[in-house]
Amino acid sequence: MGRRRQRPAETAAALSRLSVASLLLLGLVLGLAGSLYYAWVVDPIIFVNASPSRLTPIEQEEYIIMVSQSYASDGNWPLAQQRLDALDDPDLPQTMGQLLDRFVREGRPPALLRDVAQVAQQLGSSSRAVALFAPTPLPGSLPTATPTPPLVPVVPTMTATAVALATDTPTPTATFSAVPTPLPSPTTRPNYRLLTQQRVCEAEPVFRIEVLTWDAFLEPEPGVEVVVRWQGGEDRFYTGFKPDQGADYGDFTMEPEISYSVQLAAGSPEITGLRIEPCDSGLPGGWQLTFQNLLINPTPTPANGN
Amino acid sequence: MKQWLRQLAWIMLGLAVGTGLGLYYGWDVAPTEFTNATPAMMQAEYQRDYLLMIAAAYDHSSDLATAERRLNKLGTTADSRLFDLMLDQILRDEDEQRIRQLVYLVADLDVGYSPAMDVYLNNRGEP
Repeated sequence: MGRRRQRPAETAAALSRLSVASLLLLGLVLGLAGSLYYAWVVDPIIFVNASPSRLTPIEQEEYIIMVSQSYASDGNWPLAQQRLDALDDPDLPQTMGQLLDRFVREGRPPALLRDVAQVAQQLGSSSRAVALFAPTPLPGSLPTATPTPPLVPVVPTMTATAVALATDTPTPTATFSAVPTPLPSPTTRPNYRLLTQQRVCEAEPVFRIEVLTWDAFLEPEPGVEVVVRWQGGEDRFYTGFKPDQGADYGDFTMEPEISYSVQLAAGSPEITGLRIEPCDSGLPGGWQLTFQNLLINPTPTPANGN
Repeated sequence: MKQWLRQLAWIMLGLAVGTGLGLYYGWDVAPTEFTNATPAMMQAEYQRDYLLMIAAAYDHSSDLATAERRLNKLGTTADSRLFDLMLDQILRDEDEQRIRQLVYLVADLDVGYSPAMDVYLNNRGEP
């Protein structure tokens, strides 16, 4: 009799204990799941008060460009520095140097390159691109004189290699002396370097070799004589005689199956192996070569007609 | 009835603790990471500075399309904020170069007009 009375009581107590634990757990799980859903999905924290350091990499680039252009406009370095500090980048000089290198390779506008280079230089970045594009070199910021390396590969591949063109003059005022280092033979001393070489592909067949000539500050330089050679032939033309294409522009029409070479008469690397080649679209494409004058104050080349 | 109330109390207790823990974890310990912000999500002060930079960059580059694209990144109210900022700078007699940059941008984007802009627009192009 006693056993019969005790068993239901024990069972009820056990059930009650189990029930409390499981109910507590059930509530906990439900509460946790519901609140996490609320916190992560329904009402997540949105950083409406973000700083520039939270911007996407692309927006940070844009921000840096704007800081550079603003600095170029107002010359207020403390303000520019304060703005750059907001990026919270501990290695900003290197970041700026890498950004400038990439902008050079991407063929960004010269004015933009100068603006970014100026800020990179102020930050202490000392890459060759900075030395090349920064408008007012700081004392000691230019690369030391070294024998000019091969300026560009002469195979028709896309290149945009920044090459040192300046030397530090040993004067106390550290003026900008950008005379290229003489090469062993006077006949091979280039006054121009190849800045870019790229395909020209359009919606219609292109048979042109386009030549752009820029001065040391990457401004258009018209009236530069271009020599085009092929097996058994040679032709010459000047840039700047098609104003609608730009003061720095000149072109030459290629014939199929002929390999051409291009060189500037004033002295440049000879770019060989230029021929009509199919683009990705299958249509024939041409080439565009951009040369930069290595002399800061070049003697103007007489534009004596074409 | 007493048993039912007790069970409900336990569930509510569990729910309360779970909710508290969940919100603490979701909002504080591991909140939604948001690193890919756009300029529109920046603090008001940074957005104001962003507007000033747009104007200064435009003054330097004369690239109106880029200025407009940058302005649009600040959201649909960017135009009015630019205009308000310009007026604010004029009325507070801030740096003249900065005011001119803002006035020129407002005028060229045709964001708005105020007679206060005339003195700057009439002298446009003068040093």
